[in-house]
Amino acid sequence: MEQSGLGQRPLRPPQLSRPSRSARPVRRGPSGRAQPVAYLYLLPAFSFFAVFAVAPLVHAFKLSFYEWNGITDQVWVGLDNYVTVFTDPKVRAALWNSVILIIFYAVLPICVALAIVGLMARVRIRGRTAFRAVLFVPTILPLTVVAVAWRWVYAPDGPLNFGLDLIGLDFVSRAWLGDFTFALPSLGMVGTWVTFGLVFVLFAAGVQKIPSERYESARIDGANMVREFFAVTLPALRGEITVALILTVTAALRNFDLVFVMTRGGPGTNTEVPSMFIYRSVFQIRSIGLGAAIGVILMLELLAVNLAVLWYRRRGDLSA
Amino acid sequence: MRILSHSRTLGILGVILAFMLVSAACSGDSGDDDAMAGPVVLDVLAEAGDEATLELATAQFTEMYPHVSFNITLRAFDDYMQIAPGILSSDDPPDIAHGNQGYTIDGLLVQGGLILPLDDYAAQYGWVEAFGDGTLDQYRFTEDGTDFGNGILWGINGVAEFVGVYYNKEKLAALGGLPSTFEEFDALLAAAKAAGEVPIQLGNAEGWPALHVYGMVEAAYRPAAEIRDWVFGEPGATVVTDTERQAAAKFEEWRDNGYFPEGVNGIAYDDSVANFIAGEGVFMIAGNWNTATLDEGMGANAGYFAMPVGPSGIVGGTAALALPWHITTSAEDPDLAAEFINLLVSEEFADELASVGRVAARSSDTEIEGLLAEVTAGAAAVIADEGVTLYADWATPTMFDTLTSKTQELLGGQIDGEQFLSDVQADWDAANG
Repeated sequence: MEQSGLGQRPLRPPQLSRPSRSARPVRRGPSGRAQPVAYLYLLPAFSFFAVFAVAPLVHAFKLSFYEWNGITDQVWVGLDNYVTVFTDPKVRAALWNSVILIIFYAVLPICVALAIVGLMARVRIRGRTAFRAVLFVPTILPLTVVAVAWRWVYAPDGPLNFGLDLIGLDFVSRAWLGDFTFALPSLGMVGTWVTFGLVFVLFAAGVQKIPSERYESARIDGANMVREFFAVTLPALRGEITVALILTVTAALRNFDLVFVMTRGGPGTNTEVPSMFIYRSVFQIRSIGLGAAIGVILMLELLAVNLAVLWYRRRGDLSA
Repeated sequence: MRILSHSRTLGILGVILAFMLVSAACSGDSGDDDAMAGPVVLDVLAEAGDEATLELATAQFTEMYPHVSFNITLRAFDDYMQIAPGILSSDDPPDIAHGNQGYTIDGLLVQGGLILPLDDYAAQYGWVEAFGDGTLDQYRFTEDGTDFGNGILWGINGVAEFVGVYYNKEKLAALGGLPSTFEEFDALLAAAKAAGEVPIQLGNAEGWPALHVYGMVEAAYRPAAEIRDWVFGEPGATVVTDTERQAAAKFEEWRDNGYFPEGVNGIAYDDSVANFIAGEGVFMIAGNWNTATLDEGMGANAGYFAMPVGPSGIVGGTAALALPWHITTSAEDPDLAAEFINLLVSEEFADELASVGRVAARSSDTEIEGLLAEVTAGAAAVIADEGVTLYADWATPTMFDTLTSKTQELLGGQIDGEQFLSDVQADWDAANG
């Protein structure tokens, strides 16, 4: 990041500065080491985590090596389930769809929110709190409710087509969720609508924490709006962007509710996502091992993406 | 597959009936044949569409056997199919439960040894004679639960869930009379299109509704027995034949001629029914469980006929009996459970199914009227002509997914009829090869 023109290196935003060692209120034993009894305090939370998160995970991992219909005996099949997953072109298409959904769930809302937040630094908006509250509403709505509402919006005789017809764009209107070209983007836009509020509120809160002197000095140095955004706003929001990325990318990859209610993976297999395959494998085909294998792969994919985001963030911190 | 959109109507009906029956039961005197027997509770786990049927049947049964009471648990279709195998294999299974034809539910229950064979009861109560031998094959599995359509009888239901042709009487009258052959039906579609109407109302957002339409075309080109054989995976059977190709080509022709509504893959099934009621569409090829909804919405303007599938006027098509009733292996009194199931499938009860909006598969001479009478007559005609072709998605565990996505691709113009058939054949071969 080029900052020499500002004459002052921007301070690290408060939420990113690490508390000094001496301020950390850790009780230490005479030897300077944490007392073993301290671990006891972790026990309740850890046992909860172990029972409800670790145990099912281990169980699912184990099941992914078996063929099992849920009733009769489990049969060890080694890596067969994984081979099935990776050789099934439909599963690969579903994994690819989930990557495309990341654009709609994560990239698009973050870009739009950043642009608006950048504007807000310059322009005073009346009733900002009210706007923020309204924009946050989609985030707190149950996704099934959102899906039912949007299915209606996209319906052939729904409000979207009605509006398009009204302004003379009747050649654009179509059965959006049944269209082989537009079903996935239509679904994705709902994801954008849902995650945008959360992302925007995160960024808006982050911007408020930036000391106004920084903007003043940037302006004194003659920075225009674009320059100011890249030099002051964006670096200060790195922490928020990381959080937003982790939340939205996770939502994109494990997307189930919207697809299940709106398209069930259709038309054809155009909006298939990995979690739909887990549902089908377990509840329709009753191949629980196969469902577990897809689940394990999806979990690893999520883990990899989130680690990549964190790694990128850490690298950015060090170079800043 | 069988999704009842009018469950609310049924629910209200059920409540009214329950009230009537409770008041009737209170005033009536109870038989005392079994007064010596201790109280018995029959646990029933059922799909929610049968709520009203069960209320009617249980009230009659407790009148006959006052010491018996019922504990009924209901779940909506999707939910039911997810949880039923788990509940049946749990420590506390019910005495009587619904299954579902095909490998993924019934096959599983047989494999797990969770349900009892019913052959002895079938002989005792004369079920096979009453329904016809072939009709009950859909409830048969070999003892190991791997060969569908053969072997032991594991379940039964007396309700017909048949696909047929609903039509708008005013609109059809303007085009011609009722078709008595498939060619005549095809000609009416062309006439409807020429008149600016939507020939066939259809909403295929779910993927399976188009399957019911395709099943009719298939039945018009192929003998019903041949179609049943490939669904059951009989030796020597196969999906793709020359006649099957002709059917796929005809379906493709209907698509290309614009016989279905625009954006058909984006219209939900329930919405298509609403569109038909609102006057969009001359015909709607759909399951007979829509009867109450259409009767309510269209009144005397709604008609129904069984699809004439051959030049000879024989009727047939996608059809089956409803979800099987099973007796679980842990049922405390299997004989009593069988007695109750026999009431559900009995000829006397068949006459009362109309009062809960259900179509009886057993010939019934009850004085029903209106649309339901046409629907009941249609089912009887299909059974008489041995035209039942079952539901194609039973063929393999993955067939439902294959068919739902492939019908959408076929209707959306992504694939042609040939590709559709080879994809279906590939799924079938993987399971039957």
